[in-house]
Amino acid sequence: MNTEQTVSREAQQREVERNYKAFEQLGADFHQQNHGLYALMQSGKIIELFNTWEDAEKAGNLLFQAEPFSIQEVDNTPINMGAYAHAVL
Amino acid sequence: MPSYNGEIVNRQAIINVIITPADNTRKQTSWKALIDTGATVCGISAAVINSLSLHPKTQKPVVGIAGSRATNIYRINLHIPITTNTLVGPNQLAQQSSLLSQHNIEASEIAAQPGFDVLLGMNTLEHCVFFISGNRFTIAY
Repeated sequence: MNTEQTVSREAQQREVERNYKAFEQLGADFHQQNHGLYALMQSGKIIELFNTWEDAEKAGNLLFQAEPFSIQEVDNTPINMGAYAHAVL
Repeated sequence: MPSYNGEIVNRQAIINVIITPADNTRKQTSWKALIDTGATVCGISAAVINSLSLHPKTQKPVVGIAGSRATNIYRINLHIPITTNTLVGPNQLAQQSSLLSQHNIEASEIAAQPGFDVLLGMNTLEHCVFFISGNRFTIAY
C-alpha cells in the first residue's frame, strides 16, 4: 500500500472509514465463510479476498497505485488494549 | 538467543524501540515502549504516527470501558536494540550491537501516555520469550 507517497493521509482516512462501515454491514454468513481471510476493499466494496495481508496489499498496490484502498481482516474479535483501554482514541 | 535485560521501574517494564513504517523503512524514530501483556496488539501514540507520517491501513473494533469503537490500525516494523557478548578468542568477549526485529505488525492508535508512546502488546510478545525475575525483566526472540 504505497499510500505514504501517493495518497494524502486525509484521503486514506476517509477510505478506511468508508470501507469499515461497509464491512460492518456484511452478514454473519460472510464472516463464517471467510473467517481469517483478508478483504481488499475500495469505495466501500470488496474487490477480492486473500489468504494473507501481504498478498492483499500487493494486489491493492498493483490495482490502485495512486488511489486509496484498505484491507479488512475477516475477524470480528475486538482488540483489547488492557489497562490502557481508556486511552484508545 | 539474543536478549534484552532491563530493570522494572515504577512497576513498569519499559524499553527503547525503533519503529519504521512497514512500507517505508527509510524513516525511523526511537521511542519508549511499555511491555503490556494485557494488550492484544501493539499501540502507538499520535506522536509516533505523525513523526513517521503513518497512514491508517484498516480499522478494527477496540473494546474499552465505554464499549467498542472503531480505531485506526497501522502497520509498522519494530526493532529492539540489544547488545550481545560474543566469544572472539580464548577468554575474550566482544560486545556487538544488533536489533531484535519484527516486521509488518499491527499497531492500534492510542492516546499519549506519560513516560511512553508505544505499547508492546501480545501480537509481538507471543513471538518472544518474556519473563520477570524480581525487579528485572528479560525479552528475547
